[in-house]
Amino acid sequence: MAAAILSLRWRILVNQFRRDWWRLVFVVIGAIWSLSIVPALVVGSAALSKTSFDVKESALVALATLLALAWVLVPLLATGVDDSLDPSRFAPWGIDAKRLMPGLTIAAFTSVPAILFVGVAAIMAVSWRGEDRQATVLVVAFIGALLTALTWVFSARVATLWAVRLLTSHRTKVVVGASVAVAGAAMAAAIMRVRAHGLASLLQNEVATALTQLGRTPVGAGLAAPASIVVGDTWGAVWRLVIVAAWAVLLHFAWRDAVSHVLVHPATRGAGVRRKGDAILASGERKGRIWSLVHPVTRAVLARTTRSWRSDPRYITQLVGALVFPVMMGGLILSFAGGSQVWMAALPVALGVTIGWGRHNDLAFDSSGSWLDIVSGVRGADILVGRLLGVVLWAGPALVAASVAAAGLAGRWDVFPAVAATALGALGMALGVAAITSVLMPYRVPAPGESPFGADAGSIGASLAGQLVSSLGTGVVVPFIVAPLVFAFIWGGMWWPLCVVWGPLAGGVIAWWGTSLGGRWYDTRSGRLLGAVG
Amino acid sequence: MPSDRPALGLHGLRKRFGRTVAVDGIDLEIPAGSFYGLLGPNGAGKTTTLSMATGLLTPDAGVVTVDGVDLWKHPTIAKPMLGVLPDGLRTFDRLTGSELISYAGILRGLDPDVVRERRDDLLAALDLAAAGGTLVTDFSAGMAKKIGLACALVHAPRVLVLDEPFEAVDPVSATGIRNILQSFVASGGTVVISSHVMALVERLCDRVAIIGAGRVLAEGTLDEVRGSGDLESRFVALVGDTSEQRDLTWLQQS
Repeated sequence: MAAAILSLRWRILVNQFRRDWWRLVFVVIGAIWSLSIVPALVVGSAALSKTSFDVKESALVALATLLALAWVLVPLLATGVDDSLDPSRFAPWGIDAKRLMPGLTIAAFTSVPAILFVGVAAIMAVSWRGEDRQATVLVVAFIGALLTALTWVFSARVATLWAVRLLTSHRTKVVVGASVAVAGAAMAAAIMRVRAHGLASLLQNEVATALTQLGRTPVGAGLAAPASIVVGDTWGAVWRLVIVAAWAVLLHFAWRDAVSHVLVHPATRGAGVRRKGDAILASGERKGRIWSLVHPVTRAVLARTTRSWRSDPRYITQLVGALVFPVMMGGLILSFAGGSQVWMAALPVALGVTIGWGRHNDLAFDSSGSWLDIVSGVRGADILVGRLLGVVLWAGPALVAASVAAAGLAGRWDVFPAVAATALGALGMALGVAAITSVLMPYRVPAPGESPFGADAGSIGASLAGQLVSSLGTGVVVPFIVAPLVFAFIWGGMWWPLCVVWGPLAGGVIAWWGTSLGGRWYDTRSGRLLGAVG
Repeated sequence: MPSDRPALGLHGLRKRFGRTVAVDGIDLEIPAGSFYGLLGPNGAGKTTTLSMATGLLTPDAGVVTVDGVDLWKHPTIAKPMLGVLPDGLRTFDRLTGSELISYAGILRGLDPDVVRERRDDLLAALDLAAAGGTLVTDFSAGMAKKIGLACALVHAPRVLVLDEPFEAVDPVSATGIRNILQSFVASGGTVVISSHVMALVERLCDRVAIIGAGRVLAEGTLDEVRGSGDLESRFVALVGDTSEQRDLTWLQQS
């Protein structure tokens, strides 16, 4: 069975390259990029090998912790993982998980990232050369590093399978709330700690203590084990290797369990939800002066998109990614920048830009469902505005909340209006650019009901092009929105009230312009859209 | 009264995907008030043709007219006259059955009160009343087909273009759908269906076209096309029998 699965993986790869030869180019570029970081790692490893054993231990445990975190988070936050061996695809063949696992396990180590990071682990192990009892130390280092690499690869698989399972259950809202709360609380705690005691104290005390403790957990024990040999504590090394090995076995067991669950629980169901009432009709019957200005089609699209943001696992993953990732990155930067006012102000603005940029392939999430919009002959602009409002409805309050948090943490409540206005402007601007790119350069995303973490085979080149162009477009217009806020921090005075007016005005104009232009292109390109995203 | 202009006219339609020619110059005139069957083997180009005929896929060449109006030049005039049920396309699966019909009605510019009335009529007529509050993602294939049909009907179009409308639908619902479509044609509407089920086409359609390899192989009234035999024999004769009939002896149970 293992040989059959590996040959299947090979066959799929060859057929993909035959169909889209340029995919090979991207794999080669990926491989070259991977190889290009090897010299830097070797130099780093050589430098590390000359340091004392306790410095080595701390550095390697810190690196292992970051990589363990990345292997869990990146597949969840960035879609685009190759899912050609998605276990649910084996469901019709009646093969049980036990027979599938050997093949899936070996296949998991045939991707570029897996090969690269096994290499990284090996290079990390080489850092232990030059110690006393070198042979034993190096053997322990290699065993520990390779076991650690196993846990990275296994944990990525377990994380995505469990996330799909949670997102397609009744517990979706709890999961989303908990993820955002945990990320926010971790960031707030880190910032408060830095503000109270300074970065140096944090690094000397908490981080040092944390690294020592992590060296005793499966996350860092594999890389800390050689240090025990160096100090003559053989049993210390043995039990460290044993807990990493046990962790790998446990993860593999969890992976197998998740695979056997997937084989008999297709993730295509809406958790049996029944709804009373008709949100679409309600949107059409909404009274009030503001609603009367909104086209009925836009209102219907808004109601539909709002439902997707609340219940479609693919949208929810994007929402969590859009909120958690910038907040965590911001937390990381702020830990080093020590809660400076400028960095604090930058965070909500960056959040606005990333949320807006994240919609650069917005239409594709409707997949071939868009046929109903297209056959009805409605104006593209009405659809794009409805989708845009669906984002503003949750992103607007999120940005205001982020601005409140930023102003509070910086202790500058006077900057709140300007920061919030600029962040909202940045959101509008990025959404305007996204409205255009989502029509011009759509690429395939997982279809409704599919795993939200997969990438459609054949979409990788198109996705890179779409992301590059939308990044350039966003990069060109961002300075126009942000400049007044920068000037306000430098010169103060009238720049502050100007920000309050300029942000929403410029953001609104670009959003309007983007949806109008995107809408016109939607009308002329509608006969090609389904082919690009369906 | 049906007009003299064809309800749906396809003239010189062509579509190529890479090296594959999917539709290779199709000309069809579908008279107003007819029940028209489009037949063809798998991969013959039926779905591609219907996609181009309904504004879902840009043709490489050719013209599509709906009641004389060029669909690709004047989509805002032509599209409202069409009701479309595509095959194999997904739908907005996070809406309930009721909401999806309402959504289609509002996209078609209907007033919310009209939408509500027609939505409830359609749910009852298609035996979907109990499923109205269920998300479309939880629908069976047959229910999804019926809800798609309801979306195609909600704005009372002049021409219905239905790709495999009876696929996966149970016999009771199929009878209901047949009655709806036959009374629609009797009232002057036009229905175009694609299907593989010859008995169904013979029972429903008054005109048929058989297409193969992206071209029209035969077209006319049911009697003209099937001649003295039955439609299935004519179909097999036109598109060719399976090239090699193997006897799967290993499949025999005794």
